[in-house]
Amino acid sequence: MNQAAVLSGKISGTGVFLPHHTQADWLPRDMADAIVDYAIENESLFQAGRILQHGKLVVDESIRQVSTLTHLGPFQTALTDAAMASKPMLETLFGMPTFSASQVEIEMAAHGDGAHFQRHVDTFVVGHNRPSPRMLTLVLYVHRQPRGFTGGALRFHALGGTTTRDIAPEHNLLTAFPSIAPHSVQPLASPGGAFADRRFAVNMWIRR
Amino acid sequence: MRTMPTDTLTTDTLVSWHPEQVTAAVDGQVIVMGLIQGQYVGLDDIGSALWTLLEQPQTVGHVCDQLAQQYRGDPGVIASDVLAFLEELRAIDLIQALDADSSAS
Repeated sequence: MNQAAVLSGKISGTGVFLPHHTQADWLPRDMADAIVDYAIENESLFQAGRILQHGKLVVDESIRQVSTLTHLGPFQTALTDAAMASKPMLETLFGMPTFSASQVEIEMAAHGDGAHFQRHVDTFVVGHNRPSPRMLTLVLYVHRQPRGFTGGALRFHALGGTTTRDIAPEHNLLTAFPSIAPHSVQPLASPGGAFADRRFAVNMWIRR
Repeated sequence: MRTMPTDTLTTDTLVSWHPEQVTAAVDGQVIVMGLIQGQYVGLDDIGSALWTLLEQPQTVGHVCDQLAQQYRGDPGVIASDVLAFLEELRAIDLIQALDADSSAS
């Protein structure tokens, strides 16, 4: 990925952040709690998270250490509908031209002790033959109470600078941003190592 | 409409956003990421206004006229600056030149 380029204007030494939006209590509380229970009950279905490297999906825990679930079962439809309901507002907030959504791609990521994800963007470049790019990223954080981990912040990285902004992964917090925004997941600690104590994130990508 | 990848831009050239880019804005300032070269571009006020005009195909001359109405400046200088800027955007696949003659096909 090239560094930010400046043809005209604003990306300066301290950098510019792409916009983001957070919303507490995004889902009804009982649904957010039920998603945590569903994740814990389906631990055996989680698989090592993959990343796209040189056009191939691979597991590389030096870059992304996580396990993922690719279908949210009884919550899939409700989450898809909730993401699509947020789309018009997010397009406006982020200054993004209205686009027709081809798909809402959903996965649940479970970050345990030591997990992390290095700086990246969610939109793949065309060279990797990924049509229908991810346009909007919505992340819903859920976890068991009391929280069994520390750390694991979502970190936004400025374009053209080194400054960062962190979002703490609170239960039932939605964070949304243009999928082109550079971000990372900071390392987290969960000393007991129990799956139920992981930081669960429902990633929803609205594709063009 | 077909693209015209090699011709030099003139005021008669039809131009528009390249389909393989993603646009967002921060406080009215546009940031574009090209999906072919994976490159970010930040635009200032005038660049953002120009970018907005290109959402639908426009001739370069029409873009220059619109900017001349919005911003004071010598029309010849505006045309020269716009052409140079659009060439830069095209070089990194953020805009495309279109063949107007094939628009009915």
